[in-house]
Amino acid sequence: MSACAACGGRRPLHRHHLTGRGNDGEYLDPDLLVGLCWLCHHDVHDILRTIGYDSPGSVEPGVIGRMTARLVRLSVLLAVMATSEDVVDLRPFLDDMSHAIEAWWQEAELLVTPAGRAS
Amino acid sequence: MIPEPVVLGLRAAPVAAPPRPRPPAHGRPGPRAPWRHQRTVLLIAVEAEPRGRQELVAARCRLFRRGLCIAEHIVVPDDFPLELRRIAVDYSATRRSTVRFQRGGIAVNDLASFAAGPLDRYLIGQRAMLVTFDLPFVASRLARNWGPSREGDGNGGWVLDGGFSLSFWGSSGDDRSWDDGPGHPRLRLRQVNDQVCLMSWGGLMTGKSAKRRKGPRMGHLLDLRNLARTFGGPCDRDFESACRSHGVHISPRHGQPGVLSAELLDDLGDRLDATALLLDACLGECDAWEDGT
Repeated sequence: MSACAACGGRRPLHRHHLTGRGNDGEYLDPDLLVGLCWLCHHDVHDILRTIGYDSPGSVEPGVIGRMTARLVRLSVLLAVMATSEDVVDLRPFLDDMSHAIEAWWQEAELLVTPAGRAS
Repeated sequence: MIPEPVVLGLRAAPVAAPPRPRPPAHGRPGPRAPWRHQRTVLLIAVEAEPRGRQELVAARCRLFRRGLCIAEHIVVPDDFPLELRRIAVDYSATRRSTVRFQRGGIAVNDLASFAAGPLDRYLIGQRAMLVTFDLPFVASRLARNWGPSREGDGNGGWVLDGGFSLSFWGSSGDDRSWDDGPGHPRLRLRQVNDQVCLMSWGGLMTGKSAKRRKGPRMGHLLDLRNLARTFGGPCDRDFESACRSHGVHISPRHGQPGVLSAELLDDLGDRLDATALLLDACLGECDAWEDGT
């Protein structure tokens, strides 16, 4: 049994799609997968749900909309991984990467109009 | 034969132990985490009128998931005048929050919409542990209805008899009776003495309307006032002294008490920062007792 990528726990793993689904319901990057235990998987999706980026309908149509979804979902996963006690050495790197990608996401968000059309 | 001597340790700590370097205690993951290692924590700070009925002026809350602050709300009373509400809206538009992954800054809600939306999602949906300093006071400022409390102790007695039950959700019917609505528990409180208040969530399956039959259990309740006093001694009667005794710095207040202003909302933000630090200090102390360090 492999270890959870976020907490290192030896529990049955769920396949987590790093970038999730687009507004058409299809996975944005079907081959980009990571194994998470159900607790960490639940945490990642709960955070995405809280910030409004979990469901396919939350992804704005267009290239920029899909790119912003990819960035924020990746940033959330890295932030969750950075809270793990099993990656003490990697934690600063993961945290920095998560913050950097979050900043890229917020820049990209400015390009998406409130109505959801990429300008 | 003389038995081996047993080493007895006595921990006498007039001053709290210095916190050890570790990730936020309330964000530590675990499959069956004890109450102090909850994955989701909701911190709330309120400001009330200093005199009279001490009605709510404003509240501010933050949601933490695995130690990450992922949502922040400012809550104002339902019947607040528009110009006062405008202060909160302008504040949220101009202040940069520490919340991760925020889309639109700090959300501003009135009490009814906050209870029906975010509070429902956080406390019932995500089973967040509700953490405040002086929970009975904070909960009673946010509650929409109150009534007498009764909860069986399993032995024929009533442990919360004589206390109060508060409702954050629901509405009053035509006959002025209160309905909590489906799946919404009440918060039951009973003050035992000036230091101890029993509290628990009520059932999810009772009440007048058809409540959620197989709903999730609720998260834990933590009154930091009790926990800080447990470790810090009888001096911890107010928030400032509790913070001082646990080595938590708290900024002096700038806003006028009971008057909504940007400074007062800043004060509430500082109070939430200090509450999070106080929570970590107290939980660190719990861990230190368990570890024997």
